[in-house]
Amino acid sequence: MNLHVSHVSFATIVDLVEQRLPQAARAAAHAHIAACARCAAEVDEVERLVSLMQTDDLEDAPPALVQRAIGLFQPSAAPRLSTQAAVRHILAVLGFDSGAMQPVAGFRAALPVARQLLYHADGYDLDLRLTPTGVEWTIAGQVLGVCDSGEIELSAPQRTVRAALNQLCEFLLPPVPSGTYRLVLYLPAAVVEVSALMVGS
Amino acid sequence: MESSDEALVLACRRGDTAAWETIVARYQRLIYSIPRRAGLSEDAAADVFQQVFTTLVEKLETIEQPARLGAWLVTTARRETWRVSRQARALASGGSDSDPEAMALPDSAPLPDELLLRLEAQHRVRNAVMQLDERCRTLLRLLFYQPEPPPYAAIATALGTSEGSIGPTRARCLEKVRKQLDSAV
Repeated sequence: MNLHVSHVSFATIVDLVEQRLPQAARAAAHAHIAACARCAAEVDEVERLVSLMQTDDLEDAPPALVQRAIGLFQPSAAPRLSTQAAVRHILAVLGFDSGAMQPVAGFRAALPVARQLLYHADGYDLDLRLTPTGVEWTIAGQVLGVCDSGEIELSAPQRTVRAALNQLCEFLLPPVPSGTYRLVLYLPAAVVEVSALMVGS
Repeated sequence: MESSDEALVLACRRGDTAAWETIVARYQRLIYSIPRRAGLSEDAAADVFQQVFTTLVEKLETIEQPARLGAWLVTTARRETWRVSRQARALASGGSDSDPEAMALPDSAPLPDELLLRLEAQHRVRNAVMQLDERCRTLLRLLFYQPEPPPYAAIATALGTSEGSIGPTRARCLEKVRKQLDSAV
C-alpha cells in the first residue's frame, strides 16, 4: 500500500478543466486521474460547477414585480408575541465569562481566543461560545431550561443574523465581525435579551 | 454566511419585513425563471411569480419544514406554471379555462425534472457566489457568467492585479464556492 499518494492539486484540476495546462502537465494529470477515484470525482465536481455557471441563464424578475412581491407581506400592526399575555421579556444577566479569567503570569495572548459566556434569565440559561473564525467570530450555543423551539437573533446597526434552534435547542449563528451586538432569543413563552454582547476585542 | 431559510421563515412569522424582503430577493430569479424556461411569456411568468409569493404569504405560518423553503417554492412555482400553461393552451384551442376537457389537454411544453434540478443547482451556485468577497464575485462573474469571457489581461486590469495571479485566484475562489455550497447543505 502506497502511503505517499500525491493527488492532483485543486488548482491543477481547475486548470485542467479550463484547458489551461501545458501538454506535459495535462498528460501527467490525466494519467493520475485515470487511476484515482478521488481526483476523478473532484474533476467531475469542478466540471459540473463550471458548467452550471457557464450555462446559467436564470432571469431576474422585473424590478416592479419584485417590489410587488415584497409588498405582499403586511404583518399585523401589533407584533405576534405582544398579543400573547404569557410571553415574558427578560434581560439576561451574565453569570460566567471565561474571558474574565486572569491569564497565566507573564503570558499575553497574541491571538484572539475562544470565549465562553453563560447568561441567566429567570429559569433559562444561555450558554454561548464565541470562536474566532478567520477575521470574524462564530457564535454557537444552547438554551438550557424549558425549551423546545425558538429563534435567536444577533443584531448591530448594519447587520442582523439569525438562526433557528434545533431539537436540542442548540444554535449556530453565521460569522460576524468584532463589535457590540444585541442578542435576542425568541422562545414561545419568553423573549430573552442580552443587550450588549461584546464579540471579539 | 447568510441567514438560513428556516431562520428567515421564523422571522417572518414574527412580522419581520426585512426577512421577507430577503426571501423574495433570494428566490426571485429562480421563481421567475421556472415559468420562463417552460415557455411562458413574460406576462404569464409574472402571474406565476405573483401567485407563488402570494401563496407563500398565506402559508407562512403553516409550512411544516421551513428549512425546505426552497423545495416548497420550486414545487409551488412548477404547479402554478402548469396551471397557467394549461389555461393559456385551453384558451388558444378555443376552449375556456373552466372547460375540463380543454384544461386536460396534454402538456406540450413539460417542465422536465432534469431542467428543474438544473435551475435549482444554478440558483444555489449563484447564491454561493454572491456570498463571496467582491474580488471573487467579480472574477467568477467575468470568467464564467459572460457569454464570451474577456482575456486574462483584461480581467487582470479590471481587478487591478497581474495576469499571472488570475489562475491561482480563480482556483481559490472556486474552492470558496465549494465550501459555501457544502455549508448550505
